[in-house]
Amino acid sequence: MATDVRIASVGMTRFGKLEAGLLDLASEAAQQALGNVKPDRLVVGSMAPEAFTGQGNLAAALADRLGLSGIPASRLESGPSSGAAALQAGILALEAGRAERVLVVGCEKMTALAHEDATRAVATLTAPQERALGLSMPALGAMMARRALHEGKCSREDLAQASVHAHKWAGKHPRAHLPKPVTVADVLASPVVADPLRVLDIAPMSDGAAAVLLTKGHGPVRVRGLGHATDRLALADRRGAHALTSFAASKAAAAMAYREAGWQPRDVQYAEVHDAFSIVALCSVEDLGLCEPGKGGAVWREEGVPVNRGGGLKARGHPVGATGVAQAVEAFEQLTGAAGARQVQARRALLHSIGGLGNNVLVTLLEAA
Amino acid sequence: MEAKVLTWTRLERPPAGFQPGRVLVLVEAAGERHYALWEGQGEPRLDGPATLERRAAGWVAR
Repeated sequence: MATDVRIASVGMTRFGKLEAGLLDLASEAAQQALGNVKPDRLVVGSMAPEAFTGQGNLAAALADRLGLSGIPASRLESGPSSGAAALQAGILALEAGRAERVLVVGCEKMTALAHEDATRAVATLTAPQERALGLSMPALGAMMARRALHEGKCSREDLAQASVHAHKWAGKHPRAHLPKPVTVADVLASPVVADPLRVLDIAPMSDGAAAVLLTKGHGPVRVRGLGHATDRLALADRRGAHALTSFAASKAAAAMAYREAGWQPRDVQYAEVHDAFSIVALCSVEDLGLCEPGKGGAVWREEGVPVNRGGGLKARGHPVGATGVAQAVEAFEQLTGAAGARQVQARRALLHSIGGLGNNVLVTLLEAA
Repeated sequence: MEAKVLTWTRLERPPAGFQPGRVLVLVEAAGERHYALWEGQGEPRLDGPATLERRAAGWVAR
């Protein structure tokens, strides 16, 4: 990258079903990241604050809450990768010379609505022809899972193991939504949502916020590469031999980021992978080049590069707009030796965030400075 | 028209307004892919044949 963009500091609330409101959560995370620093730009990632909480104009509202009214403030939306989109927008603002210190906040409050209404808001991610049939995001993931199982890409136990991994590591995270461990048998015995995916194959709806302060040249973690790609909205409209068992946008975004950083996939020493559903966890480690085809299960059995040591979306929680920034927080803590019981030895990390079912994917590469 | 089943799912916890138990398939016919409601006997078979029919409410496969 032409500009030395750094993550200087981070902040994150608990994730879970929380009493605090959206602006309370966002400002809590923001103040942890800021300390006494005043940023000159605010970028917010949040998928659907109007639908979930009735709060629109979120960037200005948060600037106001933080006493930052006057600085440029905007909100990015790319479905569940909104936080990652905000992170990359903040990086690009620094690269363009349009800011010196950018505060990036990802936030979402999903549990204030009745579950049925929150589900309806999430369903807006799908294509009209999918919504018309009741094909929710989990149902589309289930279609991918059935195809992947049929092709021998993974076993049912491999899928369940991704959830087991998530809960194991969330148990070591003080702010995780679901820290209780689960077994493969627990996953396979949980209620079916859309066959073959069950409740414990799917990330929860959560509340929470995460924040990072980006600067030029000052901070312990350096941004090394960015990748961003989209794909056709409807799963049925994608073509290619593997259109139903992998995400072309993940592959493209990863390739873009690796090229910018001058890395190969084997250079990644820690990864935050978008595991909204167990099948997405399995497919994604392959799409990112972190394992050979058909070997995704090994990663989630901890036989390869360490991933999702904060519990991922599945168990750390998935307040959708916060997730992409929370991934940056976890990677920052890993790269600076601040991850406590979750600590791995890594200097190079990858962040992977998916909007919709693989239609808006961002990959960000970080390195300890 | 003749089609091939690419994948399917049974919705046990569908969104509001849909009945649990609906089976939806993704099929390929004449080079195009379509979501369809499954009305065939038993479960669809992946890479197996199906007959696709257009009705007023959308595609149906059996």
